[in-house]
Amino acid sequence: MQDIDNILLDAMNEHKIQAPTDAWPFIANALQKRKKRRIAWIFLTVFVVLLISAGSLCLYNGDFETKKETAKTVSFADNRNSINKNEKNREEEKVNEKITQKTVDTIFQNNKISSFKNTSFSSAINAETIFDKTTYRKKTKSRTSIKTIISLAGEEVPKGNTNLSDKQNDIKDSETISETISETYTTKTFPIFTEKAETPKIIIANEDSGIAKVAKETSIENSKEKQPGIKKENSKKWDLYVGISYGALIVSSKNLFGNENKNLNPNPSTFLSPTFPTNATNSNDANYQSGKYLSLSLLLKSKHKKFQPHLGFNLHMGSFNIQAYNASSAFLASQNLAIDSSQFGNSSYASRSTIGGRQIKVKNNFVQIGLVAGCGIPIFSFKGGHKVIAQAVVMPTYNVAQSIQWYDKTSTRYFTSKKMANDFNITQSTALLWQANAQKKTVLIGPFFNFNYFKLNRNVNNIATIYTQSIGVQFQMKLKK
Amino acid sequence: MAYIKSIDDNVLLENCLLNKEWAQKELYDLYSSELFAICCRYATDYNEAKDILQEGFIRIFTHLKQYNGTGSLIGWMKKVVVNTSLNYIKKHKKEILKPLDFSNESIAGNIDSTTSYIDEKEIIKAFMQLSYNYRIILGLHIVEGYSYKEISQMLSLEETACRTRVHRAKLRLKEIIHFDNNAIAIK
Repeated sequence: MQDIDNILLDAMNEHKIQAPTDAWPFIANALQKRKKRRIAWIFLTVFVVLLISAGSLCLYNGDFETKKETAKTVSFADNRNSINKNEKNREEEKVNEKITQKTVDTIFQNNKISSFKNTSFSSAINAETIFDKTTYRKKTKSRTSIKTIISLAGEEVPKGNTNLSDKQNDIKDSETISETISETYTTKTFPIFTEKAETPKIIIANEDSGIAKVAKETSIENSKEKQPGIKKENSKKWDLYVGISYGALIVSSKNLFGNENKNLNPNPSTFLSPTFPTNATNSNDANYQSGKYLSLSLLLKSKHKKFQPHLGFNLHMGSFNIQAYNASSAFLASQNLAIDSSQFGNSSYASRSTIGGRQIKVKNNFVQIGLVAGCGIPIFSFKGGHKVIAQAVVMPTYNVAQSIQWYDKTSTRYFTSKKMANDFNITQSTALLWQANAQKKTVLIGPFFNFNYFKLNRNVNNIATIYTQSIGVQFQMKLKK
Repeated sequence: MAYIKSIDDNVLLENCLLNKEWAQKELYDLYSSELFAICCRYATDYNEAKDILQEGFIRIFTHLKQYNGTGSLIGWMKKVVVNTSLNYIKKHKKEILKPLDFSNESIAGNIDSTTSYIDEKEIIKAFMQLSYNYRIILGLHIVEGYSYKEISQMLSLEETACRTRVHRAKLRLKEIIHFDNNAIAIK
């Protein structure tokens, strides 16, 4: 029994069967598809990551902006290094801390009284202090990290007025104040008068109120000027914009149905080019290619006043019709029939229609995803922050889908090709945009001009480069929370 | 000659890793017949073998980076194709898990009973005449060298069932070729 094992093993190891010849094209095709899919996935992943990043940035900025309107941040923690620099600075800081401490004590007392006197926060509390007093004192004495946020809003009080509780009763109700306070109390984001608060904070209502003035003039302003560690009002450097462009597209390449074709098939037996009769001498004016162009983009724009770099993503969708005219005579039925029957493998062309027997329209589509890199330069400024911006961007793109009609001179037939010679292309875009600022919303609108080129793989030895130009309207809007 | 072939393999391997189509085609041309024989061993018909070959080569090219250089490239490729075949069997041929019915077995084939020599082609022919279940289990055990335990795990069968099947498959093969253990001689 052992022998049969060895015989079988030897026989099988040497055994070869000629593989089917049609297996390789399938394998090559499948590998090509996987490769394309991988590239598409890479693009998609990068797109999603950047989208999430941009979204987070936008949310962060939006959140910060809300706070920025009513609050200014003062950090004492950052001062530790500067305090230790020299004795003089230490002395100055001691003075500042005392002043701050005094102010805080006053505010604390006043608010405490006010809070417990009045049941309605919105009417009575115009200055609310939320902080851990014990911790605050302790930490200021030891010069440890203390972060104070003072939210400022309301009426103005003359400098030096410490009798705040009386003044508070005179301050008008404000929805902002009530919202701020109610939110603070309901959400319990910040502990109120707790023993273990890590970041004691002071929120004082009304930006121009006496409290604000006192706080500003005593502690904050002094701190800002004299303590280099204190952060000034932060500002975001990038804005997130969403953009849409829509316009007309013209194929400027003439070698799709152009000059080349008239020499291809002067006297075909069964098939004629739809555009050019056999006696055609100049075919350029006999065909006409136009379509539509839509682009969606997500842009990060710098807030720099003079030079605004752009970064982002875009999605191009274009479709153009190749319309073939026969100016001298109507197309013959046999010609149209020939086009109807044109096929390449199992795929017929995307769509086709004949109009009055004199023109034939073939629809071509392409979808591209890409990156955006460019800049905008304000060239005119107007009152109210309105501007005219000249924008120029370059967009490296990748064809994710295309369906292009082309003419094969070997078979003298028209095919739809889903394979391009190069999937990576470049689009250049220029635009002149009017930037309008209204109610904190920034929108840009204006004409754009795109120049896009991609190469069509017509067959192995014959690659046609298609140039498309598109013109239309571009609209951009700043995203805000 | 073997040295030259080894260099060729390395060059092909490097270029295949770079997704060069010419290298992939070269590798396919070089080893497709050997691998197709394996596919035929585990397939019920020609088209199925072709499907397995295509799937196996796609898997080879996509997982080529996992080949760490230990052992020959063709050995690794054969293993991939065998695994692809087994996956294919599991996916499409659930009946392999069914218990076998031996009542209707009959000796098929027309091996000359008088011959005392066994040609390699004849034994392969006889092997291919085995029923599908026998062919798979015999191929895995004798040709690929898997143990009963491994086969039982692969095919979700009990180990004793595997032993029985292998034994019966050998008997069946012997029946087909009129195997004479004493008179064996390879041409």
